[in-house]
Amino acid sequence: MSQTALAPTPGAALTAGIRPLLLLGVLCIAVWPALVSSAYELRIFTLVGIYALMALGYQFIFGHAGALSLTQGTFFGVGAYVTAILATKFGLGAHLTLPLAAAVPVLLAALIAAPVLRLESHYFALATLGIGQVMLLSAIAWEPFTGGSNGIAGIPGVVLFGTAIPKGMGIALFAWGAVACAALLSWRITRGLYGAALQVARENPIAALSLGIDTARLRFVCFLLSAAYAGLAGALFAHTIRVVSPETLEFPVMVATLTIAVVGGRTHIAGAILGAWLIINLPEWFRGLDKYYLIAYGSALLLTIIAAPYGLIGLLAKWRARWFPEAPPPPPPPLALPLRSSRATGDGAALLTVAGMVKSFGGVRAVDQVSLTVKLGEVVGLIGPNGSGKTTLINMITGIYRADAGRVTLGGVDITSAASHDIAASGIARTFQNINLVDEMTVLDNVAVARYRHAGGGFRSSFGGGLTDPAWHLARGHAMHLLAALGVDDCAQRPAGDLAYGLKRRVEIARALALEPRLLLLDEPAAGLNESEQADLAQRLRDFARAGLAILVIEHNMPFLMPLADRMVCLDHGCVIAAGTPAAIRANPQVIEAYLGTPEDAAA
Amino acid sequence: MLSQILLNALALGASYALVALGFVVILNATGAVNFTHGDMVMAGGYVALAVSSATSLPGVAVLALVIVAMALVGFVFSGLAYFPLKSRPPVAIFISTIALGIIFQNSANALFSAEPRKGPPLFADGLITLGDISMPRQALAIIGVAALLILAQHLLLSRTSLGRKLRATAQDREMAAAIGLPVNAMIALTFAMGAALAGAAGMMLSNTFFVTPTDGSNYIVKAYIAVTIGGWGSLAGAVCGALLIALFEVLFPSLPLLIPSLKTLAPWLFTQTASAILLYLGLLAIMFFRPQGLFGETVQRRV
Amino acid sequence: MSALLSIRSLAAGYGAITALYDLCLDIDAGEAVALVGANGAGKSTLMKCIMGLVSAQSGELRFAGANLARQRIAQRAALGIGYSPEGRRVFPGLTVHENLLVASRDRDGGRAKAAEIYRIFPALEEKRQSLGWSLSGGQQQMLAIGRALMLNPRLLLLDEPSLGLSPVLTTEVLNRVRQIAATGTAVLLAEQNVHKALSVSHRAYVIRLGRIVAQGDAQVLRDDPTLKQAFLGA
Repeated sequence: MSQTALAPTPGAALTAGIRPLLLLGVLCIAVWPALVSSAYELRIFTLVGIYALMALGYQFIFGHAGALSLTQGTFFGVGAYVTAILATKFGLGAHLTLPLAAAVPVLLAALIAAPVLRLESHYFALATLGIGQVMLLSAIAWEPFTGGSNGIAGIPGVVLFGTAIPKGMGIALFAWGAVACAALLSWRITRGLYGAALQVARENPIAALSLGIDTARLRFVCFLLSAAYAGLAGALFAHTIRVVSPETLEFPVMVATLTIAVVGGRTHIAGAILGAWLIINLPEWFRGLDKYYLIAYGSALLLTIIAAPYGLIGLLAKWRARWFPEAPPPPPPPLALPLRSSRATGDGAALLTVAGMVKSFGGVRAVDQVSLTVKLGEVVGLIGPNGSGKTTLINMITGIYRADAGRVTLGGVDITSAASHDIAASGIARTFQNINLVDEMTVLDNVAVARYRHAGGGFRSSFGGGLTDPAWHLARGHAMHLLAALGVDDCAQRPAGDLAYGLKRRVEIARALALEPRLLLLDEPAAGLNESEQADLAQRLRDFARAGLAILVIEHNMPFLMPLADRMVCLDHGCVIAAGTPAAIRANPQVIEAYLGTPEDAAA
Repeated sequence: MLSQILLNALALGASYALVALGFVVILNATGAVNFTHGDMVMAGGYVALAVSSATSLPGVAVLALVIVAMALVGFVFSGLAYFPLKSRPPVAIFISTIALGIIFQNSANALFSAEPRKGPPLFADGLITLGDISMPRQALAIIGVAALLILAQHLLLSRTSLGRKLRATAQDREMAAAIGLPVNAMIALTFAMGAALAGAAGMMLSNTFFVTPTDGSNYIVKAYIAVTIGGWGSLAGAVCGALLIALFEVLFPSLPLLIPSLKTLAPWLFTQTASAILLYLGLLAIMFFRPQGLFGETVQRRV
Repeated sequence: MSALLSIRSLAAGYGAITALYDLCLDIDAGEAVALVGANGAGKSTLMKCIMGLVSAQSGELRFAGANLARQRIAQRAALGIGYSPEGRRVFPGLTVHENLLVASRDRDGGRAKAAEIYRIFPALEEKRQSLGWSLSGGQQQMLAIGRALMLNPRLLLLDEPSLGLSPVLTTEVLNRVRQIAATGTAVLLAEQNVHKALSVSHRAYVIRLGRIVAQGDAQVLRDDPTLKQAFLGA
């Protein structure tokens, strides 16, 4: 059942979620400069903007990419120093220093990204900490250039093309103007398909790879973006405070940024601004506590991470959903997506050819000279007792493991050593035994994000369109069509985590189909389904095969698999021990022995 | 001259070894990186300072009190930073320990001010002269006491019933429960042990190097480097890594004293700052080229 | 005489997935009971549920009269359930001897009981001082069973001991099952290798897709056609 989508009325758009509160916040920020009375308060206001800008950048790597980087403060400090040096020693105007202050940290980030980004979480965090320490010590030691421990003083204000921006109110408005542009850019980048891809890559990297999303590249782009924002914030800081010292490279700056992101909300733009406002003003409010105010700071961070892992904005959104629930917006109309049936070759040639695959772990051969083929329109079942090598084989086909020997070709193209996400994009869609959907995303979005590659997915494409991302709109339309084809379109706007298991399985298959695959690889699809759900699934898979799809199914559930499969292959201890029709396999004595053991095995 | 340098390196290495040991013990038991560990070292120094200025107890008695006090701190710490976040991803614990680190640092700042303060010696300040070599008493005391503590820790873990239980819990928490061990108590005890070791190191370092509230980040990075060099999770590796770091930190800037020609070659290279930079660059190099540490992984899996 | 372990209408699973439906099972003291079925049928899930690693969604689990629902894992161990898990999971950094001792609550630290274990598994005694990770699969399996026996359990849960073991070793390990049952410890054996499992047990349950489809005397069940059906379909 689909409804024609209505463009949201202005009223609905304004009252959705926590937008009323956010609009109120924007109003306050706009009005505040007019109410401010002292130069000191104005400076605080400017600093809030600067830290908000840095935090917005931090949200890319820490929030969206989910990597705990500890270099944000370092990028800030580098931007500050670049500005200081260029402005004082070379007399360059802000129209040059600002872009350069953003560019140098980006270059630094690109340089360190290669070794550091691929590290596991705490390795990454501490590697970035080490880099920060190196930069700090270099700044102190490289006296002729950086002024050593005393730093550089007498930095001019912002001078654009010869015109000086007045200090106080001028710089405050300039800084907040930068924040507005940065916030707009952040919103633009993350509002559509790219943002959804970031979410999947962060929540479930294996699933992301199986959808053709290059997770390493996403993290790289986020790292560079975070550096650019931080560099710009550093430049503004230098122009505001007019003195830069090694203090700007010290850890407290990083801690403040981390606190802002955690307390405000890691992925909410409003969180960066609210967090900055709180964290910069807390010392002012707690001045009465004198030396103890930073303890309140640390306590705030601790309390937030325990009680409100999504930050204050996340908490507000949750309360809104709990106490003032609103109906989910109507789903977009379905847009038809051909199921590649027109591409069936029909000449019986094999689509997938696996030849002589070998994989050893330690000294044990998990897969030993396995070969098989799958034709378009065919359902092939892969069976074998536990430990026989089925999952290892599938992981090699999809590029998660490197084969020790052997070849995999898809439609004549060798994909043996291709990257996992490229294999997904070339036509193999995979489902997983434990259903790797993102629970927090809606069913519709879970499926739509699989259109990433087809939509030309990438950073540049996120800049298209106006209020909505046209690529995302298109993707969701296609997703609706697929959800309808699998009979789960009425769940479209529900969070995927809320669904019953059988429905989740269907959503996962819809997601796989969104890749427009030629081969569907299903890992124990019947697991956890009751008998009627199994019958339903078998019927659908038969229909897909008839429409021209090639299907390879790993299963233990014989009542499900035997009627469905055209051919079966049985593995045991890494080798193929039988291949043929289901009837032949069932009667094959070696297969029976592999599963049940032989009567002679009975102990004496 | 060389013997003087080596002695200083050994004393520094012994203190670092205590820090690294406490760090890796908590790491093994919980899989969580305790960012506050460096601040526990700093806290140990301040506790020693407080106790010795309030009482007139001899150094070793102060040490005993520091160990007990820090063990209690470790217990409480696990209740605040670890147990509430047990089922969350490890990043959450990392952040909670950062938060507690801020609280530690600023409490120290509020109570003791930011000036560097000198902690009490274990026995007495001054030098001991043997023949024509004179050595600082404190350096010898540190080496002796640290060796004793490391030995005691080793014996506890490898020879006692409690030690077996702690190790089992660290290696497989679920199976430890399945054989009836009180897993939560074991983890809390591990935190106490780690904190006690850190505190002891803190007291010993505070006499030679003074103590300031912001020392923590320096020590946590050293502990981290030691553990990375030695092999993530290996106790012996952590100790070796710590000794290597100390050797480098003390020996490298002193090279011009031993080889005078180096003094004119590159005077900027043989400073404390430059050697610190080299140390971090070394850490990054190890992480990139040999992430399993110089001594490999402590436990191999036999397939 | 009421059963030692009594399970009624047990439903259990992982999150939204139900892996066991309406399961009923009894074990008496001193019995060796086999649980056979295809992979994914629910054997390990049942074991984990009894031990407390997986929570029951509904139904009743009683052991020696006590309701297990409210007991945590360590408490169930203390009640007398010994667990040799799928994959062995011996403590890799502890020696064989330490693996045994750490599981003991005896006054003497477990030395006497360990000596008994070495009598059951002489191959382990040779490897006393070897670290857990360095043992072969068969040695690890024997150690896992020995460790579970250190607490003098009334019920031993033995989950897929033959995984990764050669047929000869599997025979050697499974032969001990009768021996252990004879000392009064009940054994619940989950096994993929059906013939071997049935030959060392008194009774058996056949589990398919989360439900018991057949049960009875082990020797009788061996010739039952339901068995082949359970694995390879009608």
